[in-house]
Amino acid sequence: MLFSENWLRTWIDPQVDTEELAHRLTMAGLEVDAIEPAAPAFDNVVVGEVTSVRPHPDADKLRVTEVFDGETTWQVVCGAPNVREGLRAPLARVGATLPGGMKIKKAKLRGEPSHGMLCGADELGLASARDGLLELPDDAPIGRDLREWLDLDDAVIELGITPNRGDALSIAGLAQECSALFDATLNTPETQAPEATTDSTRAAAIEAMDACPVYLTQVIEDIPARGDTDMQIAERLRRAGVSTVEPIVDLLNYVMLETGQPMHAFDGDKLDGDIRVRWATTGETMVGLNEQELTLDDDCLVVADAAHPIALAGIIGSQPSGVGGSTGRIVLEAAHFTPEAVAGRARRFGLTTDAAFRFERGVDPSLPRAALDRAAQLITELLGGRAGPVVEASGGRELTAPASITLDMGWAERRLGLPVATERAADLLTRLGCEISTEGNVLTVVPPTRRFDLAIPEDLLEELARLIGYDTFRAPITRMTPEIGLPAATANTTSRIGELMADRGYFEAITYSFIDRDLDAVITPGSTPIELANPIASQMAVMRQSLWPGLLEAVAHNQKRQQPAIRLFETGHRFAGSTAAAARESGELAFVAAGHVAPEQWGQATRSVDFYDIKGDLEDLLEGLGLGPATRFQGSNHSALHPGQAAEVLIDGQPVGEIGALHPDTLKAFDLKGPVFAARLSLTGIGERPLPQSASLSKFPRIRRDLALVTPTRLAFSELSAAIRAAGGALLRDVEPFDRYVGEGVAEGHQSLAVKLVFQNDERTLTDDEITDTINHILEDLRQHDVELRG
Amino acid sequence: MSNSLDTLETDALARIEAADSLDALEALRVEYTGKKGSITAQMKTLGQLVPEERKTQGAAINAVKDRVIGALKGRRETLQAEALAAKLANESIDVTLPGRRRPPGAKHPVTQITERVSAIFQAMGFRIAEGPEIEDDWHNFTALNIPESHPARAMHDTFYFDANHLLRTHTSPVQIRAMQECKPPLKVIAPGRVYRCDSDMTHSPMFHQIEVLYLDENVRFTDLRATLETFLAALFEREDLPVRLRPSFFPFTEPSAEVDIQCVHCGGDGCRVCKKTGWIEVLGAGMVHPNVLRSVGLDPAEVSGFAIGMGVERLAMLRYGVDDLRAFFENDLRFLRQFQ
Repeated sequence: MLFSENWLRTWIDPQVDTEELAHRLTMAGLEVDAIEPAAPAFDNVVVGEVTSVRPHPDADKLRVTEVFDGETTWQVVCGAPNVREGLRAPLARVGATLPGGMKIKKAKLRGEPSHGMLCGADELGLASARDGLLELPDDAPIGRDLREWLDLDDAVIELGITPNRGDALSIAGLAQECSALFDATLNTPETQAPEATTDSTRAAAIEAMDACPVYLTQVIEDIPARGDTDMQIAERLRRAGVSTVEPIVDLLNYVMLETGQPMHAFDGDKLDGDIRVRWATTGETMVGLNEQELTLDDDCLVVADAAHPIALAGIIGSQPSGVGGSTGRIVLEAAHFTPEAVAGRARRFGLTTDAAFRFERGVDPSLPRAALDRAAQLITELLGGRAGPVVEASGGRELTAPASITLDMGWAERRLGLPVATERAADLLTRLGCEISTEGNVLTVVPPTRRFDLAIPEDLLEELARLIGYDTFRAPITRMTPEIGLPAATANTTSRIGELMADRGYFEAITYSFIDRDLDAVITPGSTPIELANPIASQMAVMRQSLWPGLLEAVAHNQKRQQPAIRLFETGHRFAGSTAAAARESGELAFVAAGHVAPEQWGQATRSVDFYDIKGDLEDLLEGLGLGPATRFQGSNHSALHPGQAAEVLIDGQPVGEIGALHPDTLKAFDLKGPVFAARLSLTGIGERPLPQSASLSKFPRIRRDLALVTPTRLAFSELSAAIRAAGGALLRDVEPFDRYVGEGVAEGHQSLAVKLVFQNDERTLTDDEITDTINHILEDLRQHDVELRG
Repeated sequence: MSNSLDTLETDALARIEAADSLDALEALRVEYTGKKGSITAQMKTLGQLVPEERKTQGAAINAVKDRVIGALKGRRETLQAEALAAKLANESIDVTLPGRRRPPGAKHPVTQITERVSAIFQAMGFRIAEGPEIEDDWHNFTALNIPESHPARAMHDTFYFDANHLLRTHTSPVQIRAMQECKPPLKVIAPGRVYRCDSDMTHSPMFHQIEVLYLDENVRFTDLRATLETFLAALFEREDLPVRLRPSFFPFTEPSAEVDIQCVHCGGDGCRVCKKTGWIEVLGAGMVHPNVLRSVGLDPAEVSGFAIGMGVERLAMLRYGVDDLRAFFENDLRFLRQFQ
């Protein structure tokens, strides 16, 4: 909310400068977001009167004028189309400085001398509906300094008002807040309700009493044709960020800014019969002042005449019943609509209006009468017209005082941590407009009707704390139950996983949890993703069923930026189940690798990452997580992966993830240059490790024997090593392949595999004979698998 | 006789000194001190001498032999040292050429901040709690004292799935879940992803928050400040970092505060980062609202507590000088590499 500091100071004038005022408001919870001057710096600009206008002899678009500045008449050349004899307009005299630093000097324009410059609003940094010269009213005092006359040495203060402080959305409300903050008295301007000079009324009835306890109308008729809104009022509106529309509407906006009461005016000649405040019927329509057609629901409160809704109550008026420049007869509305009756409706229709903003937050229900009087006074005084009597709608109810709150100051001390003297508390709350009675150290507090946010003792704690100053409440922590926040020693935390991944050269990515439906289907075909009802973009429409799509998009992003080696990982939730109600969220670690296996280096050949590189990363990760011995791999099928380069990862025989090269179709769908490798693991599947248990170390030597085997290539190494281990028995401790050859000298469909076998006995040194026997047994067994010793 | 011994010695020492390889040196050793060597031959002549001569001549020959052996040893060591030096010289390399590397990656800056914040609170005895990202309306709003019509809902720009399910708009629903699961005293910290349907220069539809909850008997407003001061001093690594609390509004806390630290860029003098105010808003906090306690069946007369909520990206931007929020989610390696 924007407001003019000088306007506030006509209500209350604390003896502090702008900065201190802003600081105090901020520290009281009304955060000042910005302070801007009401007008940019300029000087020596006065109200001038154009006394004559003649064409410029040498330029079609220029006129030669004479302008009186109160003392002297100057010849001024002017190009504005609206310059005319008798017009009062800002005159920048010779010697003036305009915004931006432009100096006004004596000049000759196409041969005609010009002593000064007539100014438009934009040249002075002021807003105006019109191009050309800023037209000042006929009674503007000639010769008067413009800054002084328009009160331009003012600050526009922008407040970020929290939703609980609807009471502060007006000059009156801010003044009341300042009165409490500075303990200063208010100078509330006098309102003189106009005498009723006509009998015209418009009857109204309330049918939705809970939503609208008070509804007042007043007819004003014979309002003469009118020009621009009073300049001082227009300036205050401008500083509040409200543009001028039409004088009646502007005055109602002015009353709203001043008092906080949103008001409305209907064209009295366009209403059909009496007014009713009622709930809309479903499907009923109304065209709003913004020309939007609104289809209403039965929880929308409307103001209606006999035929149609004429306003969505407290939000927006209807276009047909609206007031225009020629309206001579109006029906003013001042009413209280409860927050519950207004909240959410404006948002439903995509509307944001000042009225809805205020009613949703709560407007003081005692305001309508005073605001109506103020509006009627301004309209009749400034625009003319005859006011009728104020009519209160039938069916309303007596406003009841807000419920009282009991505040025990002993309890307050226990909650705040420091004592506040009972008398001081009573004084502070009184300043806020509360009615207080005290018994011992217990206060009974009736909050003012404008403070919708004061209902429970905790609310009063906040009021006391903020008036005293939050920063006053400092004390050491008295007690805190000792607790240990550490995770279990056997937990493989995402933090640990991240460290291991980073140590292996992977960078952590954070990709969106909602992704493109088609890309999701590439990775997780045949499974319906959970769909957002209101996504911000189609490529963010469904919840990811895997972390791969996001990471692959990140790979593509980096490939397009010529990154030679790409390794990324991510941990986060994946979302299974086809509806939100049936959603199953589980943690996943995913990682991808593409490009060079290592940075280009002078001493080694550059090569691309392959399956065994990323598999090595995965194995080392699981080793680091204490899961190495429990891990197995087996070939698998996944439609997004290369059919011959994909494996399932098993821990203790349970599938926990997948690893593989991307299928060419997958590469294409993600616009990737291959090969790209990807792995993923369920965080639950790798979340727990066994606590390490030490065993005694053998004193006897390990003996290594190497075998050169010719094996069928269809025989997976896992099967070969399982067969070797089975045949090798307890003495065989390790089986590792260390060389592989395919080609000349090895039969088609076979490979030569060099395997290292390690034997050990914990009780004694093994003999050569024992080992030879075991190896022979192994070789014999391997023959069943079509495996021979290489000849 | 003694002349010839002198000549032998002079000759031997000169030749040993001149030997330029270990092989040549070995040949000299054999020539002089071997079984058929010339010094050995001299010894064999002693038998023909009278005993007195034999004694003096024997001592002279032995002295020559010792000196020759000493010279052989000295020369051998020199030649060995020279050979080693030559070998090492031959093996020297350019140590300034780059090594064979497998450079490390890095955790995301958002994770680094999250883990730092978590570690600080874990050190204070808070444990990490988690909750689902697809939440129901009750946990995300109603239980947090944000009823259907509350204007605060409008500020949340919620992603919905259906009438009752949404993407959590904050990490506060984890508070509710933690309170449902455990009785006070309760100290939890809940980091995680949150979502709001808003996307521009300064808003991301997905970002990260960290929620902190402390519930016990008689937790006081002053305890909140003391905890915040300890935490912020630890996070920004400045022992006496000025912290200020400003009254604010969150439906789930009362009193509520926005918390500022003195600008870490200008030290409070006013700069672009703090918009010339000298202060930077870093988080929101407050005393848990009694309606929130009641929503999980706790009695506000018996239990009180505080809650803290912070935006991780904001902290990461401050800490690492990142000035574009979107950089966190582009996953550009050139950006990520800066956080190794």
